[in-house]
Amino acid sequence: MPDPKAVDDATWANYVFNRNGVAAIKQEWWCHTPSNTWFLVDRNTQTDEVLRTYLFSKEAL
Amino acid sequence: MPLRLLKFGLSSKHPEPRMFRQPDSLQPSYDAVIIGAGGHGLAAAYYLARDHGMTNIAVLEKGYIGGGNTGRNTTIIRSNYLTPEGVKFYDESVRLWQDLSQEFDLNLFYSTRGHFTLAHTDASVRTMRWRAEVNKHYGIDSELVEPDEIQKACPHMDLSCGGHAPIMGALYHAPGSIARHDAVAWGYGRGADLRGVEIHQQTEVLGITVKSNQITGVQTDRGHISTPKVLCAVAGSTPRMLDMVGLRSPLYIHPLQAMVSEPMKAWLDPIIVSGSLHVYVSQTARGELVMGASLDPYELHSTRSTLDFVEGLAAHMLELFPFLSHVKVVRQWAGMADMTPDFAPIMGKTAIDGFYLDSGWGHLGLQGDSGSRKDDGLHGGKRSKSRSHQRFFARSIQKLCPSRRKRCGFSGALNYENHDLSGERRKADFRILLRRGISIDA
Repeated sequence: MPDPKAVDDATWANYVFNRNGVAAIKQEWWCHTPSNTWFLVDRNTQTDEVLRTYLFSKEAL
Repeated sequence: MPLRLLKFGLSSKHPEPRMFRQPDSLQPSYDAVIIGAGGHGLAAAYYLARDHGMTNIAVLEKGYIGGGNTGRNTTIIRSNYLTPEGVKFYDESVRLWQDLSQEFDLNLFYSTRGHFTLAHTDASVRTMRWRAEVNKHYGIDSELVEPDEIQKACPHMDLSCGGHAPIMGALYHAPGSIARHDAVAWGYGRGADLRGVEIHQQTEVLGITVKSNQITGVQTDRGHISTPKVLCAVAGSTPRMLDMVGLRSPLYIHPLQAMVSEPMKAWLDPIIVSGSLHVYVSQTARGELVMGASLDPYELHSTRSTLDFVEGLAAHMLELFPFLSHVKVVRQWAGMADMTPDFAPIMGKTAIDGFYLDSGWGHLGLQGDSGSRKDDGLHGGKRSKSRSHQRFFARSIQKLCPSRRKRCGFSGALNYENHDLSGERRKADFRILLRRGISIDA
């Protein structure tokens, strides 16, 4: 995260509002609602293929 | 009209020319290139050619004309939005839609039905009242109606929804209409083609060349084109196009699904929308019920369909219309909606000279089709006729912040002319908050 006090408005706005909307393999948070478990998913947003699911850990990032 | 039709029956050959030319090859250069031959791209081409005398234009389409969201929506046209900018913009679009059939000499099957947005809770009655007042203030025919009036217009509906979600009232919008959606792309396409615009289907854009922040050309799978101006009107693929020129945006892509029942005798005259039940439905001239629900809940760049969608929507349809339980669903499909955080579109100039954007229409793009006269910037010179639009856009832009066109209360057009996709966006937070209590009806 850029330091909001140090960067100019354009950089900060870019961080806050813009996103990478291009199809790709993305790491996402999902929630298994019956157990209320949050976990990570690597998913291809072009094909909807789930490549990997795993719990959060330092290595996961 | 009947006599004109007769020649189709008597002639052994098709008595009219094809609607479009099919140019064999791309020219090496054009004054402008429009990416996307849907309602928006072709409308821009048409008005540029008709009103601004700019005809050396190529419209590039990866698939076929009107095969994207233009042909994938549920054909509803209305202007009863919540925000003043949204109301004015879509009202102008509705007005343009009404004489489009004459202008094109093509039957768009534009059919004014009346549009009920059902309220199942006190909170949504309050929102409907708010919308009705905003609409009336801007001269839009829109009012809050009681359940008995809904029942009169639609005697088949179970107003108690099986006891789960009794209907307490509705926002009634008399000008609400449906139309043959792909015909609008054909009409604009034919008009543009007659005036000399080249429409190249099956032509995919692979890259856009930018030199010192100025557009210089477009790389396609059929060769390179040089051009100083590019309009990107590719709902659902906008992030990919922006990536080619190195721009970032708040846009995200979610699929929006719809389905159609088998045809039946005409019984449903008005368009019925329920935000709480996530249903919108109308009956086409052919007798099919066209039904849609809300966006799929996660990002996906694909037009796949799901059984989950059909099951959910069918269950909600049966709450409103229990007698439909034996009616079959014959088709389902999906489109990729360009979503913005506050559901208002993003259109206009960008940080790159010569790169114009028309995006973020979410599920509201069809209504904006005829409003896509934002060719102004593109042709640069005389802008007499579309001046009011230009002004309109400019005005909305100053007041608003971005967000594309879905059906809840929208804001309107955002032009990020002088703000690189971001500058004015902070105000958007406020709008999102405002909108949080509002049910999304489509």
